[in-house]
Amino acid sequence: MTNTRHKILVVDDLPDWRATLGGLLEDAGYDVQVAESSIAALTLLKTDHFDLAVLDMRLDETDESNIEGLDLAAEIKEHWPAIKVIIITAYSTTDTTRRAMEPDAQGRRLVANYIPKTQTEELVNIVQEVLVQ
Amino acid sequence: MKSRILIIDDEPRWIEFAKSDLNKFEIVVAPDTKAALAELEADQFDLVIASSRRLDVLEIIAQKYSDRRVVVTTVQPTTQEALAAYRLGARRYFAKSFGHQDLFEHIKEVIPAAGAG
Repeated sequence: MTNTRHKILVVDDLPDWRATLGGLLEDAGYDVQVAESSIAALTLLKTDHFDLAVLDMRLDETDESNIEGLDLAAEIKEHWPAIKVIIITAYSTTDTTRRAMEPDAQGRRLVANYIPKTQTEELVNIVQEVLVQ
Repeated sequence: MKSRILIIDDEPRWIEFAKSDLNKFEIVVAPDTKAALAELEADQFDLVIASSRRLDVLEIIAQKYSDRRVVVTTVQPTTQEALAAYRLGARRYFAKSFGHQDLFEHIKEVIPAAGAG
């Protein structure tokens, strides 16, 4: 069992993915809450404490640019800077990778890590790494 | 004093272009991993510009010289390579292009005191 004190918010619009990602993290010993949208995630963030958030990049089927998760990451960085954020996506491009992972002039990234959904098996290891950074 | 840049690359046309485009900086070239590690061990650099074929050097920089700033250049950007470069600490990842000031534009926000020299 991993550290059960860490609380993780998983945000994905697809029920199967919420169950998969949440299940992987719960099996690893984390305290997990799930949300299906940015609005639901923000409600939880305002009322609860989280150490880390795993955000799907495409949070709505109508989100043709596939970046709503990046917008939510920016909001978390602004209002809850202590929460580490990991983006997970089935729609990875060089541009979205750059937007998520390229450091700003001060060397700060929007997110701590970025995982293509084809590499979901890396999630628990990356969560462990990010939580000790 | 000029800022110092280490270029890890073995492509003659790119090296020639980089020396010209970054002529306000002191440029040192290492054609391979072994030469790059020797330069990093011997000297301080304000920026490392590494070919994406030398991501092995980024792993070592991340472990031994984590204060060094690194950007990665590539001939053909891919999402997988971009992610690998950023995870290894790259400040920028971009395609090589040979227009006037193209390279300088990519590094100017990354190298300290880019306007000086």
